[in-house]
Amino acid sequence: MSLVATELHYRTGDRDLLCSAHIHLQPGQVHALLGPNGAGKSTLLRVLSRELRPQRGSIALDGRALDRWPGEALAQVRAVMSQRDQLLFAFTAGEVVTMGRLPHPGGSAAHHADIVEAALSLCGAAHLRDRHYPTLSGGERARVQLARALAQIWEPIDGATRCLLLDEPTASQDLAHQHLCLNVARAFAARGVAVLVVLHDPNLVLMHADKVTVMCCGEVLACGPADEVLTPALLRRTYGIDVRLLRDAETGRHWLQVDGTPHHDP
Amino acid sequence: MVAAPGTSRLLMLSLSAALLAAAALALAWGALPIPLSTILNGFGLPVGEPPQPFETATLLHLRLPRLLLAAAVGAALAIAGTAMQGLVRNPLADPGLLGLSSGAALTASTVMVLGTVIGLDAMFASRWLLPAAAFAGAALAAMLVLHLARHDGYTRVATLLLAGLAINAVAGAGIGFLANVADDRALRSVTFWMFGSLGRAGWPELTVAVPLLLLPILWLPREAASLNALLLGEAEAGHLGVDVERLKRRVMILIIVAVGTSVAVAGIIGFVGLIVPHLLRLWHGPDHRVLLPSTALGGALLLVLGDTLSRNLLAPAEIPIGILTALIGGPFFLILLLRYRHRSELA
Repeated sequence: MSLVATELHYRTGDRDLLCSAHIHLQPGQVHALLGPNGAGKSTLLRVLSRELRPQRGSIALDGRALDRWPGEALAQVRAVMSQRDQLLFAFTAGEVVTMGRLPHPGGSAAHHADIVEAALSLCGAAHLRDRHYPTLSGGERARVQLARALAQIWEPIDGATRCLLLDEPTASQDLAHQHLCLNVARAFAARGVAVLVVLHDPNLVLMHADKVTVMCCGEVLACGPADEVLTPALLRRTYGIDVRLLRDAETGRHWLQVDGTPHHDP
Repeated sequence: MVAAPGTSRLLMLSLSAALLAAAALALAWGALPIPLSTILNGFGLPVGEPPQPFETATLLHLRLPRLLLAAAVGAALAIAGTAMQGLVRNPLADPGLLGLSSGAALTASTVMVLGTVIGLDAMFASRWLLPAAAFAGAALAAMLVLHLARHDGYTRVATLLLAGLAINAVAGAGIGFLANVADDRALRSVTFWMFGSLGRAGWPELTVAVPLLLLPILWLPREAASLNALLLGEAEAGHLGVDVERLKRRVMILIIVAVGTSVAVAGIIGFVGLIVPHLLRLWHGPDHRVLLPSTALGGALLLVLGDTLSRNLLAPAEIPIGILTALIGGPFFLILLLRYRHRSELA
């Protein structure tokens, strides 16, 4: 079972933000979403999270149309980390993560507290638990929000695919925490979660993603295993820059090196 | 949900104890001082002297209804303020500042004037028509400010406050105009609507107002966990399974009932919904599961104390209660503005 979206169109004002976009998220996989600014990555993520309703197209989670899922049941299996950050009130980081347990009204307080603690540790934020959220740095807040999303779908629900949708979790993170966040995504995939992660750095995609969907101007340009899709030709077409695909002799891993500045506006 | 920390029990206990003490003071202190033991004897406790008939009359017909009204109005206004701040995710929102109270006062005073013009039964008007008109006014003002301040799924607090300012100005002018043209004795005292008073209501008004005020006081705490999630953002609350549109509608209706009923029976009493939640957030944090019930107690405490002071400080004259709350609340709002001026939401 999985999250399958086909032929998605989303239009706002006179702009088409998605043009027959499609994506297929599978349990156990980290699926990266890559593309230039304004390509429609966040729009796709918001459509997949049911925050926006597409004008056309279908989305099904475990074979059931996303629209037909009751809100609470959906919240038990699908968590979203967005880039917005609106919390002005002085909740502690621990309280913010505890809100992730809202869709699970059963269970003892101690059980929820254990999950919150574990989620915070996994995101390298255990030491922030008693700090007030508005006083944290951008990167720290993002890790607390990631922990909240993890706490929401921490435990498997019988027979249901769990989905984790992450919008640029690495955006405000330092080098070490960028990899920590993606290792967390990998760990959740290993527990059978279908993970979608919006990224900007193709090298992070090569290192951490099983699959990648490349978008430009609301359309899907390519989709498949990262080291097959991310060719210099595609990146040149997408970003207008020259890159070289190098191969590490020891590990056999691919990585991309940027040569020079953009040639044209893609 | 996860249990709130144990300190919340201490908070609720201290507030309840303070409210009881304030209630005793409100019953005992006045033009006719009545010893506490006599009051307790009146309630059937085996202490002190039994109350004289004139003492019983004072307690039963003047001080007790006034005390109950102060507690109910204070609790409703404070909890409505807390809920409003949760709804727009900003601690500066207050039903009074946003124009809900003056909107309610304008429609209520209009109905009173029209009622006397067309000769409506005064009792019927004051008991039923007045609250209904006040609801309508509060609802209209609420829809107007929220609609104006909403853009792209976000509620801008600067626009919210400016729209509230405009509504307050227009409603104030309208009430002033009505007070000038009306010959009804009640309306000539424009101070009732603009600055509030808890001295008007007797038992008949209370039997309508108190159940209406209890509705938001008892119901809003049930929405606490959803309101907490809403503070993360509307989309984020939706991701957590909260039906955001229905939550907002329910909470807004409860706020309108609280503000409309309060204005209909006691005029505009400002800033209660701002001061109380802010102090309690400082004390115990922003968790609505504790904040909503404790602001209800705190609001009751503030108005019972405030009303007792307003009756007695310049006795036999009475300071309108709204003037007292504005004297405390105005500077308070400035302090809040200073605290939040760096936040982009106010830019």
